[in-house]
Amino acid sequence: MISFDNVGFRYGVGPEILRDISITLEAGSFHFLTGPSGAGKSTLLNLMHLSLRPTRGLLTVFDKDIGALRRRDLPPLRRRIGMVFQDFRLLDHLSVFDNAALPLRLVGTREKHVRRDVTEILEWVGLGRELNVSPRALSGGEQQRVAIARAVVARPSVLLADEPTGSVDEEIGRRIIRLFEELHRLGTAVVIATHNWDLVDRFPHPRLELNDGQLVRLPDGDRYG
Amino acid sequence: MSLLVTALMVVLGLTVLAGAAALRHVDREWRHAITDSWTLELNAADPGHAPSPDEIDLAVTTLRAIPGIVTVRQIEAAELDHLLQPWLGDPATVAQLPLPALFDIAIDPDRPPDPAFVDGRIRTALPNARLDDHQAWTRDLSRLARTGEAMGLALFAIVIVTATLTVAATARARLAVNRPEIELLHRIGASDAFIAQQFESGAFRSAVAGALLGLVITAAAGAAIVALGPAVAPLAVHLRLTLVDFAALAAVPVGIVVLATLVTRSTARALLRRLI
Repeated sequence: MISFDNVGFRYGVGPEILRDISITLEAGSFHFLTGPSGAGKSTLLNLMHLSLRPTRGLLTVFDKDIGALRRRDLPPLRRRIGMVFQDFRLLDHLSVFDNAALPLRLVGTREKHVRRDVTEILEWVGLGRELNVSPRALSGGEQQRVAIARAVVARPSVLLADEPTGSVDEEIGRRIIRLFEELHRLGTAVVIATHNWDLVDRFPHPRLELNDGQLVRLPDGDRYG
Repeated sequence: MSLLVTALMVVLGLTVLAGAAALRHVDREWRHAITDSWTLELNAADPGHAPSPDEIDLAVTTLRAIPGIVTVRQIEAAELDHLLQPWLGDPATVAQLPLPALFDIAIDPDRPPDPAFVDGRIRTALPNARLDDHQAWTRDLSRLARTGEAMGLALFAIVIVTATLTVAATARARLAVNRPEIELLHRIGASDAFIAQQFESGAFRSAVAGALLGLVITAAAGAAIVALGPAVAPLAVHLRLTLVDFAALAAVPVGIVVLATLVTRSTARALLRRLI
């Protein structure tokens, strides 16, 4: 589904942030991506999400060589990948419902289906009563759940989450990971970038460890440092 | 482009085009008024005297015999006095002068005679006669009117170029202000076309509202000019619009709306290509 083969990445002429990344994420897999702050977790997620292109090596997403794709070929692939951003990136001038509906509306889904699917997904994340409020009126945890609803409403094949529990308390963090596990059971491949070791220890999923720009796969239960 | 700027562009465009249409009409009026009538100046064969009745009869007879000349009318002495009085003063003085006889010649506009032929024919009969077909006047007046019209069209072109640059600058500013939202839309899979469409729709709505406002302002200004009359706006009395003029004026607000929409689209797409 997503395959890195000796991928390297640098910003401009700066030092290489990621080096010799080689890994394949299969359909329906679940991984934690861990590593200290500044290790390159967000950069690796951005490569998976096609927001960046590798500066060397081969990156294939859904069997497409990303380095060889034209810019206009990227949006259809991005729509198959849900992304939960660390800073939520909700649009304050839109309601909770309209924020979550964005991925459906930008592909021209009929409004009747938008209403049905968005209402269902917001109820799933526990925000069924907050459809028409502004994101500004929500707590950090609630905003995070709106961002999750937006990421999964179009039933993506892959869900990437960048520090999804970074701004919520431990209990909300555990609930968010359980939501991702539910989605995983429905067949979505999930990659969660986090440096919350306590949270990672609570869930039995394989870990990808980024350290000094290189990636290693750790067996369940192992832990960095 | 903001609503008010669009309205201003529409007002400017309509005013300039209407002015050009009025000048074109003035040119046409002047040419018809002058070229459909010529003037014959007949001096007496005997210097120091007015032309004799025989010379006058010969002039009239000769002219009337030429095909394409509809009527020949000698300008009455009283009328001549009236014309000359501002320059020569007392009517009694004017009456004592050996003035030439003037003839107003009406020309058939459908088959006008050749001025050189008429001049030759009348000079053969009366060597002291001189025909004025007003071509020198009409050429200068036409040149003046056409220069005014060309300046109007050049101003209109400047309005269009200014509108284009303003729309492009506005689109760039809007994209810069909305950069975070644009990046988010890109990241969740929106195509450039989808994002550009959002800007294009906003530009279209704003341009339609601005164009309507511009039409209202121009109509109000036009009504005020008509009410104030020719003393305030002498050119306005010549503003008789043809169907082509109406079509051109109607195309101004429509064109500015289309321009705003298309320039916003192309600017947005060009800038989006530089983003992620």
